[in-house]
Amino acid sequence: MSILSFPRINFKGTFTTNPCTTNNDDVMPAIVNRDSDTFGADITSQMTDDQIQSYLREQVMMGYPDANPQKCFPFIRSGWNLYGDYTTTFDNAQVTSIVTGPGTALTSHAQDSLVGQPVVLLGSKSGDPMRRGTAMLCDLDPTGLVTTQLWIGGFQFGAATYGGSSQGPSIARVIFDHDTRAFQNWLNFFSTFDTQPYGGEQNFVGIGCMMQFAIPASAIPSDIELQSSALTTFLTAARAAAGIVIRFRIWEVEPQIIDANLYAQFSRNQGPQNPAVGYLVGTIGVWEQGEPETETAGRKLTCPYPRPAMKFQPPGNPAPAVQTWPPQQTPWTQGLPPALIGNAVARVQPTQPVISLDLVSSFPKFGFRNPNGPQKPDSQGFNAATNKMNFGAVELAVVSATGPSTTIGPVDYGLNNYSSYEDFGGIVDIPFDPSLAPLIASGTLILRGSSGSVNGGITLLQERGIRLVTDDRAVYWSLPNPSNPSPTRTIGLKVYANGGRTTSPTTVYLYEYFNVIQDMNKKNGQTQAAPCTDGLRPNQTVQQDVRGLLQFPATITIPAGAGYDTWYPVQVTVVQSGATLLAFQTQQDSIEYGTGNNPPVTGVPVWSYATYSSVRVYTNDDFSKLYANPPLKWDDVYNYVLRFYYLIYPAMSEFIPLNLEDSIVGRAAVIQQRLNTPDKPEFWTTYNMPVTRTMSPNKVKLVLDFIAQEQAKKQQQAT
Amino acid sequence: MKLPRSISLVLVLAVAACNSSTPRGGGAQTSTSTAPAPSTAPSPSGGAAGPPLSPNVPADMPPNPSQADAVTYAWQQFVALNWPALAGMRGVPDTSKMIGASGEVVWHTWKAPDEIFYADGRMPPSWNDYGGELPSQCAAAGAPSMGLVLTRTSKVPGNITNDAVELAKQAVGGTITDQHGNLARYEVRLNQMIFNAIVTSQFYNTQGQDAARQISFLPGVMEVKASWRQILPNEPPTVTSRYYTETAWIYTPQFGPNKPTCVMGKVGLVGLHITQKTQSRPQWTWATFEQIDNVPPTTPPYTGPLSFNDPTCPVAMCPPNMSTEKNGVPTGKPTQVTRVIPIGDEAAAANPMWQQALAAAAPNSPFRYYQLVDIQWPSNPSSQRPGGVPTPSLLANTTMETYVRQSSCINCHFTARTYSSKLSSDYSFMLAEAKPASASRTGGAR
Repeated sequence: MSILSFPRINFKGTFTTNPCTTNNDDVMPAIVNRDSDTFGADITSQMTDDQIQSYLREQVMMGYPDANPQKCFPFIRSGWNLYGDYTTTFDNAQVTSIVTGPGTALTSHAQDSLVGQPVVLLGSKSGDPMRRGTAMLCDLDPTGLVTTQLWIGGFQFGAATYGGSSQGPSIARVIFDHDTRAFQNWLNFFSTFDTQPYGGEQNFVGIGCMMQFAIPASAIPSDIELQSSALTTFLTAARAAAGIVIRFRIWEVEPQIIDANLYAQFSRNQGPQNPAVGYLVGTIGVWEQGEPETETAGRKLTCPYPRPAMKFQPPGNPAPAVQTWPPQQTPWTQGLPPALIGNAVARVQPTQPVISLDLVSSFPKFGFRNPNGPQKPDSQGFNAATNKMNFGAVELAVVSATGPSTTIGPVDYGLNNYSSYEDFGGIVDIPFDPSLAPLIASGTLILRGSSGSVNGGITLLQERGIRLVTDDRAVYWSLPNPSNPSPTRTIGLKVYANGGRTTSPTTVYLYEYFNVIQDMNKKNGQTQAAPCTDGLRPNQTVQQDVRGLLQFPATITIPAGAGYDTWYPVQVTVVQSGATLLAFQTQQDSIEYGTGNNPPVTGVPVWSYATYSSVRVYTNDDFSKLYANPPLKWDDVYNYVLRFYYLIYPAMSEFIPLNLEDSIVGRAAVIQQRLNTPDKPEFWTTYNMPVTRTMSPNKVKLVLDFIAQEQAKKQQQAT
Repeated sequence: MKLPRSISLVLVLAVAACNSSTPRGGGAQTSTSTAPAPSTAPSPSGGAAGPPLSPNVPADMPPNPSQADAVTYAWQQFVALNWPALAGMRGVPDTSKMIGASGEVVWHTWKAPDEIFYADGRMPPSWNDYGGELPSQCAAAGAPSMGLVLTRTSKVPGNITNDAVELAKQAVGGTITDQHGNLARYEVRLNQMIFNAIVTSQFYNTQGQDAARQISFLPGVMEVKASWRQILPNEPPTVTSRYYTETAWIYTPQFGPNKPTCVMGKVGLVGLHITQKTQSRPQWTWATFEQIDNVPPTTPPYTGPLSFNDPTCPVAMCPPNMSTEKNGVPTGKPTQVTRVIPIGDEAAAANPMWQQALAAAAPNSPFRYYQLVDIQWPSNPSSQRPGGVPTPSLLANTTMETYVRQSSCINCHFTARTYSSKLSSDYSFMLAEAKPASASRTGGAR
């Protein structure tokens, strides 16, 4: 299936993303939750635009809660990238190998001309050959951190030509045009793992995630100018199937400019962008009919519950002492995230005794390339050595229903040769004795320390019997309104048992989770003394909560065999506007993650393991009073709608100053093209504005109606 | 706010002999003008230690440039474009003269938009011919057909319905009023390279643009945008000698109930944008210069007044960078203009050297009283990100981006489109000025 099939095309490179951080989770509580539908209270009602702009650019000295020793960093109130424009690219990404079968790979350009070709992520195509969009990374809920999505317009092999010049050498190009999205999946806090915590000012650099998107067969061009027999074979298979699926992992994504240097530029009224750059490893495979778009199909393995103590050894000469990661507390509370080794997916090849195992998200890289952050004396950037953390030799095994386990074969996760990981998409193909096939089909796969290794006999990953998947990872809904009076919405679920069809009903538990910001300067109602001038940074958690944005049954039962070929519909009722998460958990999930608030369930399980949909429910803004007193006034349009974007996303105003009436009216065609509601196809392109898609339909209407009114006025004056 | 109608600008030349014209109704002649010939005389030097002053516009930035390299390139552009023009040849420097010598400067012999984009969409006259249309008020006031008429009171014209030009107009639009109560004036000029491209591709009317599938100019195309203020008869030479000046018909469009007027007067150059598309910078380069007495700080030993700022006026009475129009009508109250985005460090370091070179080469020339604010250029031109990573990120001319807080030349011009907005117009807002060709019209100069 998909990337675990043959042939598969692997690539690696770097990943650059330039999101705007103003109302992200890691800034001052006063700015957090500045979603467009809630903007206007507190600071903004008391301050002028100039004052707010100055405020957002101020530098503060803050520390992280529970850091020991406590360290104070200079931060900027609006985060590490006030001028971000959300553009996201693969950089220096190239095809590294084409795996045509177990143990058979093309790894040089001489073997196949596709090897070494650039792999480029594209934005949406437009009618103008000189203007192709750029992929855009933007959370559904910009105040949160678990709803990241990547708006994509396609991808290509071969150098992209932008601005009239080429990105690099290329024999030819093959372009796949398709508007779609990829979503953050399997967030892993230990994508990069070091014996010392990351010393830079941002606390997310150790995190990584997987993303996947698909290109339908209809978008595969018929004429391929690139002469590659491997690609020809691959595309023939893809055209006969559902299309192409692209799975990639990003990690150690780090802003390039430290906040103190940003502040120096802000002090000069400059507006520097500060994109974050990280590692990229990916695989392109055939997308089979019925497979999800957004997650790799197959048998999913996750960290066992409760996680046992695990041993690891940092690299070094002489070899440092083996260290032990403590076991997971049960029930799990706040503190160390449960997983040390990330999720994996396995596929038993249908026609040969091989298990293909996707470990792209699993084993941490050892050591940060910039241990104390960028722009520091010890920063090496991408010249730094890359190694996997040593968990010792590991093997794949299967546990029978009666308990005994049987070794299937050793697993190379890139420990001794990092390129075996990064050049092969993190996927390993493990041949097995054909006599094990029935046991493998019916048993539970595990990844464990090999006998005699530091983790000998320890289960590091374990197959989850029931797996839930949804491709509705980020949905944009409205409250009931005249054009859609029904409050019922639908999310599609699929359910797998050991990667196959279920043979008994599956009970699914539904929970709503919320992004909760905690002011860490107060504990038990008391303000805590902090060594840093401006206190502690807020803590963000995702907590199970009942705020009533959605109404849904506590459980649903998916009949045996259902939810395999087609999506099983889950009916949800929208009640209030806002942004939330709707999680789908099995009973096992609930045992492991907990439910309710006693003890409180923090967001790590949701981020890392659970199947969830991010949901935005748009407000039904009532502007009837404005329409009742025509004409519509610029001041109203600015204050109710555009002011938020002018202040929070200054990059937009470099193209179209949002605070100038004439600018808005003068750019009517551009705004009319880019300002859309979810019922319009343009909403789903990388051109749509705002990128955050936080503007409610009635706000969109207000802006467009104002523009139309002013255009009509000009037309009248001209005649 | 209301914006003035844009009317073509016509150039007045001291030497009438260069004004050739083709009878109306005749076919337009293909321009045979050549690009400025390399100087055959030794390049004048600004002094023993100063940078060389050359009439040659640099073709491109050097490879792997630093900001200091970009600054040098910008100053080279400024010097070359302000070189005295060769009589009878538009866009050609007179290499027998030194910069600062009397006469028209090279950029001011370039084509004005109304010489290219006619109201009836006709083919414009050839490069060396002059064209354009006078406002009726100026004609009635006695302005000669080839007179310099400054019609724009905000950075772009007001009668263009095309969205892209409306943006540039509106985004930076609104008038500014100098300390004498007069509006600043603006104009745009296009070099021969872009003129030829427009004519060859017939982009001068809407039909020609409709036939295009994409628009991408060749390297070498240039545009300049200039801002002027009125020089009053009672201003002392200690002030006025610091400006490059022209005599012009100053047209003021209707504002509110005030009728249009056209009067002759002297104007001084207060701002100059220089933009150029090069082989290595397909997103163009964007340099901007200002006369040094626009806004604080004053440059010692000068103690005279500033053009757009009164340092003694308290903030409450003179809020910075706020329009003084009322209901879209200029009130005559001066705009208190301040510099929000500072002059770049490299530009600030290089400016004295170039000013001294200009002073040494031509002591009586006003060009020593101009400064580079900065140059914005795409530092990663092959980037997928819009604009090729504009560097520095923000840049503003106090006389032309007075009201724009997040001013980025590249990002603003990235949105430039054809008259129909269907295609991007390769960073030039000028194509939006095209009108439909009427069936009876053919080319010809006035």
